[in-house]
Amino acid sequence: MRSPRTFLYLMLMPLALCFGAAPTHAQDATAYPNRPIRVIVPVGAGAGIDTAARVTAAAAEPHLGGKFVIENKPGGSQRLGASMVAKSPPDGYTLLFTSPSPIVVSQFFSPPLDFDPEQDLRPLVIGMFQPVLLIVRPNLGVKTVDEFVAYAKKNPGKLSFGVQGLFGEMRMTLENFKKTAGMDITHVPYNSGAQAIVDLLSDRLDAMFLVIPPIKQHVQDGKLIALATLNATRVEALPNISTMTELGRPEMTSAVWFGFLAPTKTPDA
Amino acid sequence: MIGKLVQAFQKLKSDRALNQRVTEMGSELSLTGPVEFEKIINDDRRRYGKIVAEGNLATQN
Repeated sequence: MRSPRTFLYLMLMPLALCFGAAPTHAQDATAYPNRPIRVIVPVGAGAGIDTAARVTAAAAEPHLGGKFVIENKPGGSQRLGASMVAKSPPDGYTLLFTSPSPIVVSQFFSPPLDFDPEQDLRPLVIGMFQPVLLIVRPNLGVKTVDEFVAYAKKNPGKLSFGVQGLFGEMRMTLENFKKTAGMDITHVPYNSGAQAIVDLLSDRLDAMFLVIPPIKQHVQDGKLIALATLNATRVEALPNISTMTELGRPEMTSAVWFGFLAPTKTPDA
Repeated sequence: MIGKLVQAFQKLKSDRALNQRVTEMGSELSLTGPVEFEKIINDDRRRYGKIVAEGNLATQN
């Protein structure tokens, strides 16, 4: 005859197997990640940040033992995607991969952000630095930074300078350039860097600060002219291009980062 | 979780093929960790805040 304890065990065992026994639950909780991790990219597919996110995330998957899924959420000068992540559950399954714009620039402009980039997001790692080039269309007729500045001063307000995102770091860099060199230049906002490059190539836009990947071939082919890099050192991919520091303008040194951030309360372990 | 993610990304530093691919693109693989990243964010915030204030840019947009 079975004891009451044995009877209870036999009755409850199938139930435990159906819903998962305690030891299994404990194992799942420690086995992070146990499902794909969303990486929100606040620009459209195919943009420089998007490519960088996909390359970095794919390479890290074997080291993490999990999968990343890239989700593009463009809009509001990158504010939309950043806001989504800031308001996501801090469970380690939603990350942001972004340029500096929504983290360090947008907060200074209206409309106010619906999240606090200092309080609601925590930095993880910078995936890549993107050296920036000062690019002009060949028919502008300037071949050096000094010639560019002289042209701008001689033609106040006439140079059209593309900026990707009105509240972005490239706009800030242009404003710094205008101030330090004493130039009056008209900025032309673009939603897409690709459209700005088309306009540079077809003489509808005079100049722009751009990262290298989308224009490297055009520079090598002579279809666009790179006057300088804003990077602290020369860039290996285009080693003939001088730095702004070499050209006597160290105040123009900067680089754009693309980095991963998470909701602030995401646990360390 | 954060620790595991950071560790996974920072292991890419020794990925020669990835480094080469990124360099050829014209970018630089960084993998700078949370402490230094936070410092860069704070420095950028100060720098851009100063540009916005001095240029009175916030009211122009």
